[in-house]
Amino acid sequence: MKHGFTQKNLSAYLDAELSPDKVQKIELHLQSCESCLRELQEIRSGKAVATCFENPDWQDTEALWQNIQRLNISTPEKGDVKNLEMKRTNLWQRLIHPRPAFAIAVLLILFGINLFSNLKQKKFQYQRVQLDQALSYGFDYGLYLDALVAGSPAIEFERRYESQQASYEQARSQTTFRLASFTHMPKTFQLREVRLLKNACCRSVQFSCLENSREVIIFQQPQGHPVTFGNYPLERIELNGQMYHRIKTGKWTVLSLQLKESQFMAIGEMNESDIAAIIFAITTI
Amino acid sequence: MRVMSTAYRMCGNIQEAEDVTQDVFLKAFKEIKKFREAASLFTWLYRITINLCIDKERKRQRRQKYHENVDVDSERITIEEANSNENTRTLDQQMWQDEIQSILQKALSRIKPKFRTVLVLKDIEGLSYEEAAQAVGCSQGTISSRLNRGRKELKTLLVKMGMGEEYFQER
Repeated sequence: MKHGFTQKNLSAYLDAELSPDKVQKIELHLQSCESCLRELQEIRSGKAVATCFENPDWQDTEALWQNIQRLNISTPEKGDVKNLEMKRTNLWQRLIHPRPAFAIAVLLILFGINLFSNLKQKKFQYQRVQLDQALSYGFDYGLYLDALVAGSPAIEFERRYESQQASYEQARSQTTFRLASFTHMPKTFQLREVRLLKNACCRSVQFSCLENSREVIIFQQPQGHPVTFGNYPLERIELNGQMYHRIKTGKWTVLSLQLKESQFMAIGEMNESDIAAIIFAITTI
Repeated sequence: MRVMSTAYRMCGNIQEAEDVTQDVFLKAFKEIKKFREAASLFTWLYRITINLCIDKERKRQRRQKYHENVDVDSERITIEEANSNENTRTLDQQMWQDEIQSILQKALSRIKPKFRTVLVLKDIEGLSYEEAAQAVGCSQGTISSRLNRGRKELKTLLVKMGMGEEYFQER
């Protein structure tokens, strides 16, 4: 028999509220447990004194009962209803006052909107930076074409990209891609000048050539860097199984060709046979 | 009358007991739909009474930061003086009884509400364990263990107040 069971049920034992088998178990335990016996004595004394309570003489029970009946039958007074309603409200309802809660909710919404617009703005700024960065990694040959079309020197192009005259050998030593050799060009083709161009991250080589006394500028730059031509429309052409892009504006033609290691842009007054010759020369480097 | 006497034992004064009784019936009339027929009506009324009394006590305690912080020693002197006084025996029997009842009620008021509740229901109101369990909303085993605590605390408090051994004898 557990000590705890007996202690818990001592009152029930005294009040004869237990089943006979439980009574027997408790009595068995009490024979061997002095502390439980003392406890039983204490509880017995407490029970004995509790029977001494006497109710006072209620003076006005009739008046009280009439009062209760009046409260129930007649419409409850405002105060009574209010008290009952107050008891029904939950703790959180009493703690959260509607006006401050509404104000906090509005502030949170405004804060959220502000945060969202800031994030959006930052995203646009980030995209703008990304675009600028990407453009700085490549060359905008549209600027060069603008100058040709306008019949003026390509000042804007030269200002944007650091330009330096170099020999063919110097250019070859300073570039990471195989430089075009132009060995297969017709005899009428003359390489007049080589210049090294530099932007934020790569070098391009500018070959100024004369073909039948017409100037053709050929740019060669490493593959994988962006190339832009402003707003000039680009068309996709196939010539002898070789795909290239072409821009035609007035007497000027732009040829854009991508090879494995490098990209070529040829700008000048070129006819179909010039283009075919240049493509042949370039692709056999 | 049973509601009123329970309220009186729980609250400790007649005025509050009357207020609680009024509230109990008001609440009972309002919430009669919530009454389940499985429970008996009077245990349901006891339950409302006890809850309202405990609510009232909590509110009172919140209002006055100390709860009838009566000095037990001062009461001991009163009882001991009364016992030793030769005139005690000549005191009017009714006055003496009133004094004893007042001391008993004070001791009862100092017992924690959950122990006091079962003491009032079982020992004073004479409910069975089953009825008391229904009124309080707990098991009969809990009633028994709470009664243990309540009875022991009552005895300890009364001994501290100087109540004589004759009151602790079974009648």
